[in-house]
Amino acid sequence: MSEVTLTNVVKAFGANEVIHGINLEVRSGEFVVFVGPSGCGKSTLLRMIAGLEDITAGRIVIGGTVVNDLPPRARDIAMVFQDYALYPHKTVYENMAFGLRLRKRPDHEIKSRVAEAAGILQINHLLERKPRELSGGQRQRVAMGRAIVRQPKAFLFDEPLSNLDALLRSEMRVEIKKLHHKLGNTVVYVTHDQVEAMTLADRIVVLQAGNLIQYDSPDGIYNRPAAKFVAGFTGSPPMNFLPARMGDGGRSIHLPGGVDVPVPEHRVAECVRHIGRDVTFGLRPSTSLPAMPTHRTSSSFPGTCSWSSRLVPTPLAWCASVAAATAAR
Amino acid sequence: MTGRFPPDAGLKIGQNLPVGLAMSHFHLFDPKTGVAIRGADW
Repeated sequence: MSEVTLTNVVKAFGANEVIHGINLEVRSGEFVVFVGPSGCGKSTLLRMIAGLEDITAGRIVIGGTVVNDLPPRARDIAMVFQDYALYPHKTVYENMAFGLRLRKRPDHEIKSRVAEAAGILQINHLLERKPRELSGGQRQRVAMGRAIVRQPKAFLFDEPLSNLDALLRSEMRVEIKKLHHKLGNTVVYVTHDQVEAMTLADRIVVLQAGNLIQYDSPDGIYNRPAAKFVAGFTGSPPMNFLPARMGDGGRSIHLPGGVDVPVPEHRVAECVRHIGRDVTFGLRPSTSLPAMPTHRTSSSFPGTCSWSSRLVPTPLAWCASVAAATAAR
Repeated sequence: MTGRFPPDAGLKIGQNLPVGLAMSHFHLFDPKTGVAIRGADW
């Protein structure tokens, strides 16, 4: 059992509170990603789980043990950092073996565990090299290998792919997902990259200014955002937002420029409670479609293309901005 | 507003562009708090 549970966790630096009472549970074997913009507190939260930052208030439990007062080495977790944190003067083998040597594990066990981890990560041929002789991707594999040999209750990843180029990053995402599938450990992973979060996570924690805004599956985050912040943070291009007003009977929504769009029957019940209220109307770019004569509906309106861009290699390659504010029915 | 269009749409800046909204997928948020306004089935 290797659940990670946070209860009312607060962090303050002096009088400045940066984490405001976070409650969440990461299930045993689950891959959870903390995501949010710079300064939202995601790395601070991870470092508190790791024991690299004290918590100001609250409780952290890892695998059934309250770890508030335990040092990092006693928490049975392994952390992978953005800058790899490899010892430059040690070989790959020695880097991977180092944590086990500190724990005074016998030589035969160290050899066996390093060989197993190197096999999983396909870095057997690199064991005698020094970090400077490795590419960025190989260094990151070694950093993961060093975590794997520890056989911890949970892996903590702090933006591990941020130093890699786009191609390598996407390859490593696949590797990390495969690794999780193979090992089945609990993973807590921090990134500012929503694509990374969406592709890796079983569940995603969206943080904003030290607050947990939504904790949900990637599908829930994308399709049922709990707040405008979440909706705007996910998807590329991001969701469109327009100031709007709920119309009579909850059956239409008034958009800027005198455009009224009808509410489909199955959504009327949720709209009827907000008749006459100002609302923010949100629609993803993928659901703003060209209104061709063959499928023009009452929810279509004229606009003007103010820019366009080919999104390679997306098959739906054109992206256009529509001056809806000047549109007239 | 930004929308995705098929590659053969041949869009040019300034051209008229009829836009259709897939209204089954819209979202509503409170303009003051940003919190999603949802129906009971959410």
